[in-house]
Amino acid sequence: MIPRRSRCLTVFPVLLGALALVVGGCGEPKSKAGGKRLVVLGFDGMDPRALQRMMDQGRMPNFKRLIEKGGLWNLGTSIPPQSPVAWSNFITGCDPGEHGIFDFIHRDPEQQTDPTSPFFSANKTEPGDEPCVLFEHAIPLPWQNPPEVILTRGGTPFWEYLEAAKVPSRFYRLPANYPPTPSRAGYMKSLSDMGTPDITGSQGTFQWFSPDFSASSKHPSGGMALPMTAVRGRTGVYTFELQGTGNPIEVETHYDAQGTRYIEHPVMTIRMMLEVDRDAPIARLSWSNFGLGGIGYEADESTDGGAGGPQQPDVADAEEYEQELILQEGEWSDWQHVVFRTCNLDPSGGFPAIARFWLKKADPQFPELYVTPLNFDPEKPMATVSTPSDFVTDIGRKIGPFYTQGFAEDFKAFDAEVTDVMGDEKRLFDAETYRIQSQIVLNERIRILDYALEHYEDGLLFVYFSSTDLVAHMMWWDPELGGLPLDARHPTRSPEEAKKYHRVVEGIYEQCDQQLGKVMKKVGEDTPIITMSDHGFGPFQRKVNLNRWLYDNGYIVLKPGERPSGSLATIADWSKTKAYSIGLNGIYLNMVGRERDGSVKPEERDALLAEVSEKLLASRDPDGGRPVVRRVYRTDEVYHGPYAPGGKLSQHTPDLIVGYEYGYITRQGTMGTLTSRWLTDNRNQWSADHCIAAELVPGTLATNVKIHLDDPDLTDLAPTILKYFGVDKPAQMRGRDLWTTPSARTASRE
Amino acid sequence: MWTINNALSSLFDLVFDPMASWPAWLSLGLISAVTGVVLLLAYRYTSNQDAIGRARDDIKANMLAMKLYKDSLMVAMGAQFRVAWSSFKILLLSIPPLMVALIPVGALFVQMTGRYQFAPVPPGKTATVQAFMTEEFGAREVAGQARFELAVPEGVELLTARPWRKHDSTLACWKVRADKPGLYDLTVRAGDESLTKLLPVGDGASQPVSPLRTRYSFWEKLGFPWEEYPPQESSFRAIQIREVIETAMPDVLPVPVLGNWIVYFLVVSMAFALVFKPIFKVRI
Repeated sequence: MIPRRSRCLTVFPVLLGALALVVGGCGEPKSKAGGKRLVVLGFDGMDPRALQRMMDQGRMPNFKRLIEKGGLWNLGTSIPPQSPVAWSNFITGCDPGEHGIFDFIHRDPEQQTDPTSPFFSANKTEPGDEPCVLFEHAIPLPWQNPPEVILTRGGTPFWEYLEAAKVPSRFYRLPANYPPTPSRAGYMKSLSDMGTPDITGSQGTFQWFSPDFSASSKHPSGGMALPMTAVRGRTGVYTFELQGTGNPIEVETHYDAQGTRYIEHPVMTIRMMLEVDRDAPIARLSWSNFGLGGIGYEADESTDGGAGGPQQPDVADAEEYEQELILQEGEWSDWQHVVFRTCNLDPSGGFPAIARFWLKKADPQFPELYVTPLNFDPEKPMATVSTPSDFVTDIGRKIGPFYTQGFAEDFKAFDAEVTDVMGDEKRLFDAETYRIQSQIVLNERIRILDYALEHYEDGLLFVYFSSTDLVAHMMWWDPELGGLPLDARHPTRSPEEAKKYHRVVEGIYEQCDQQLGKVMKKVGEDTPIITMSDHGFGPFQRKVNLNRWLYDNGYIVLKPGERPSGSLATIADWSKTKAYSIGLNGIYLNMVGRERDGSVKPEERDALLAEVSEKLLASRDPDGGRPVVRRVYRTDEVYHGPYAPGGKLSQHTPDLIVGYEYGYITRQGTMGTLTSRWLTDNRNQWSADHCIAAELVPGTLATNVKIHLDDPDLTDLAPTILKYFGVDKPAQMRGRDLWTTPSARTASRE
Repeated sequence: MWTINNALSSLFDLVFDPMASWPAWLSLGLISAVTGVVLLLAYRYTSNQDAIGRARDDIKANMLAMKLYKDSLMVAMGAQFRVAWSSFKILLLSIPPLMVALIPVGALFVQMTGRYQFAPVPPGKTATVQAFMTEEFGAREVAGQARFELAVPEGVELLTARPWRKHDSTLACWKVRADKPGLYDLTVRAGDESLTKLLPVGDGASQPVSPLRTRYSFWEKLGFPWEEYPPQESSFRAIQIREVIETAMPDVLPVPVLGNWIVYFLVVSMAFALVFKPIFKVRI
């Protein structure tokens, strides 16, 4: 037996050791970067021509100062130049043959063009076990698997090699990385961006409330147009239901046409009240985060409560609600906390989310209210949006709420239209509103950059800005930058308006320049800084339906009696169809053994690919005779790795990638449908794009370190970063180290 | 009531003002410690210490009986009953001192709320001014016989050109913003009446922060004693700065739960009371 005194002596060091472990465990792991720092600023879609022109005009002084020491290059983009593909190239240092992301939209060869076939390429949701259902309530059982979102990108991200070398890396908004990859040793922290959903699981669904919607009007794409209900006897007072996510504990049982049973979780809602002042353009919005509502005043059945929708039978007085805000017409609220309750006495604390409100119209008869997609509350996220999971919470506590979803600039609201009660088309955002909303997003990103710089010690720092892309999609239009005849008209704006709003894109570039200046000042100009973009930009004038072209050229054959319109899943004769398209740039041959109803034999493949390519290259726009396609890429030539054709994981890989000329973009038939013509005029606000031939829309590379290669590519950045921190390039990476590899020209001179 | 409350507020100002520049954990810690000791002494002199002592002795004796005679069901049950009875007696004996402490502790809590609970509006942040009116005034306003107006001093920007009014005009709201810390006088005019409300702006409270100027109910008046109550015949029921009542001051300590000022106050005051209990020979 140990004597009492000895026991104390034994226990004390053990306790001290445990305390040291706890304290040590709470901190950051020790960096082996040795004080080396490298900053990468990712400006999505920043176009090198626009940047060069603005530098020449003296409007980008910090970029100019940066490249004086290094240089500015066109950065080779991915094939196709779509953001999830391009950022996956950056992340893995490989082409899509290695990481398996070929398009925004992939298809399941077993389902071909069935409505359930297309899926978002970067992640997918695995349905969990069906819950145990008792009296329309789901009973969660501990051994059941819940639904899970899985990152579908293959390959190895470069930060895993940095982590193995104990070099810290910080990614503030990382595109194409949702759900965020874990960090094994704690050296990597990341906050996800593009691909991160809102709380409903969508890529951002706004809500638009008004009593002025026609009952027959459909929801606009990317959003919901929902009714407000007038409260009887009170002019200008309306209630409406903010739509949340599915209630996990409630279940509705349904049966489909085949009699198969399936269950749905009814959507949780929050009852809100909008009270518009009787003659001033101002309103109060109120609601309860404790599930209150539906109590209080009873409706007077005999009188009309006002214009618009049906009468509200049972309405709480706004004074019952503990949340309220005053909004003037045209005003944006700050982020507001909303909590969806699963039941009246919800022991879970509910489902917290954040939203901003924009009072579009404060008319007592026909008010209109826009609600941003419901985002995860950074301080209480109900899904993992960062690595580690509390990284987003740390940022949220410091800088306040911010958009956690990807695609935060609400371009869908800019294109949204519904029919009002008079039968007229009603638009949600105008250009100015979109500009303001995008600026809100950019301001948040700037606050995140400030946080990042404040907490940066050594290793890699990556900060991503999406505004350069999503503002350009809606406002880029300058024939002087190429790709357009000088007198080309914007799809929806007058030349003056088009010029005015292109200036907004330039304004975003100038703000990016200011942020670069801030970074240079903070980390010192001797620290290597890379500013890069995943692709450039071009105008979008004509919408392409590739499936219609394939049909017109005999590669899609319809069942007898079918008209060339609608989904191929129902009208195509798959035994005679040779090729079809899903997504923005991909063509799939209907291969025997790969596709469910394949008709093309392996020995026919090469000839068919050559024939389709040749015909696409020869295609001309009937309106003006311009060529439509610049390049057709055979994926077995441009991709390398297990996802390349012939590889063991190649079932999702398209056979051809169509690289359009400037002005032509696939915007119809992306889900496998036919329309009446293969080329139509673009009439949308979405008036610029980059999903064309890769060589027409290179990205930007501007650094303060000399580069010896003439043709830097996105895939070169990962090996360059690794080499800088002393990590050798992994075998599967196809990129080169930009800072030490000599160019072919230099090498030949030597 | 205002006279009493005003006098109490002035009295508490004398206590709190010297500590205005101290960190919250220190000033509140000192107040909690002194309160704990003072309440202990108050308990000592307002309770029947002899009777409490006898009851505690009874409890000890019967606990011992339960231990010694655990094999005898009747004795053990009798002892248990007597323990419960003695505990109840202690509870009864504690009521008089608790009643004596209730009013000063209540007043102290109200004063502490103004200093440790309600936060002033941060500079540059929008605040909502809400004027709650009588139904009679509302009816006149709806009929166009009276109007609302908010007058703001220099340094405060009025963000809403016109107020938002509830459908029956018993409530009007404006949004204002001040970029510099200070205590600003806002004047709401309603018809031919007017009432001022202080707008506290700053990064921390150095003086009591009042979110509400009210005559609405006895309890509201009791809870918000820092600004003179509107006259009972006034059309104003209350004026409130919404952001002040919604925003809590930061925790006094960066420790979960304990950092909350109420928990911190209770823990520190109880700890000091327990430390000083044997010194002052108090039986609780």
